[in-house]
Amino acid sequence: MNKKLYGKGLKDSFLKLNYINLNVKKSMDYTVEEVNGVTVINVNARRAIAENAKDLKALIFDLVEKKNVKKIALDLSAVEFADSSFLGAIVSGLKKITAVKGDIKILGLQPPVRAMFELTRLYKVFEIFDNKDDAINSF
Amino acid sequence: MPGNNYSYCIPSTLNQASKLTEEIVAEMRGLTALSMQTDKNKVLQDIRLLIYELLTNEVEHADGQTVCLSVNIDNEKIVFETGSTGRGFPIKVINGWNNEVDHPDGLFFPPYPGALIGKELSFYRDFDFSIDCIVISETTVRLKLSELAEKSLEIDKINEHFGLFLIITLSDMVEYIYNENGTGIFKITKYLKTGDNNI
Repeated sequence: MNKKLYGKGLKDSFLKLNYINLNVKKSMDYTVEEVNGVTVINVNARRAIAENAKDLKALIFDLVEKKNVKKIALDLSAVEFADSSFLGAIVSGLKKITAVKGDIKILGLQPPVRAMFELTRLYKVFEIFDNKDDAINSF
Repeated sequence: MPGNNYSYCIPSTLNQASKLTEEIVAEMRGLTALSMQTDKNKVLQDIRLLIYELLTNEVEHADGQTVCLSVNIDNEKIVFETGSTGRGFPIKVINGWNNEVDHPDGLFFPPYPGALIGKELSFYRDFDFSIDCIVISETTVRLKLSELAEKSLEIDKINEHFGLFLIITLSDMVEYIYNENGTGIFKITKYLKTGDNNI
């Protein structure tokens, strides 16, 4: 059986910029809060892929360079799918923050995303926690 | 090829790649070959990721404005082929950890030099593995993963590009074939396991 399907054009939606807490520009996919001296980045996107990966990298770089943030907990509990670009953005952020003796810790991995961290062996690189409190207290 | 054949062509955008991935996975969900899998959900999850990374790799690295994918599935295996136009898949010899090109001639585009045929080149290195490239002919290379004897968890040695690694990890064979008409095909084979036929 041969079958041909053609993709339909998709209309891009505009990102809304929200200024929260640390006055750092963020997209609708990320919110930032500070808890006990740890900056928590909540990833609100169900799909963490190339498009929002660029925003994450820019956000982490912004926090490190302009706000001197050294402790980041990345909350991925809303993420159902993460691609290689997103993981690459996290690694890039890790390199940025470790250059100033900081760290990024990961929390809330859903099974498909946890599988990605295992597949790419990034579980050897990042400390991963089940919940926010444990991640924050680990710093 | 025997089995079920599907062909798709989409505009070369990440959005279209995402959408097509879900369409293909939805199609596969009902196929008999997949139903026979002992862990169907895991297989579909792997296939979803494999297709997605294949398509986004083409979107990001191929020259054309469309990306085409064909899928052939039978009871034993799934074969994906992506086609694109351009100079072809470049191979290189790298220098140690930093993945810099370590050959006076730099990158090799197809047709690959005859002197490289039969050779296994380390194409890309991460902290505990390398992607190696076996030159099969002037127009065909096979990619595989090799675990490094010398590993390093230094942060600056961790690379940020996992697409090709994921494609190779999730499949059983990855080949690149360059055609005389200037089109290149990535051919990815994934064998299916059944309860009494673990391949």
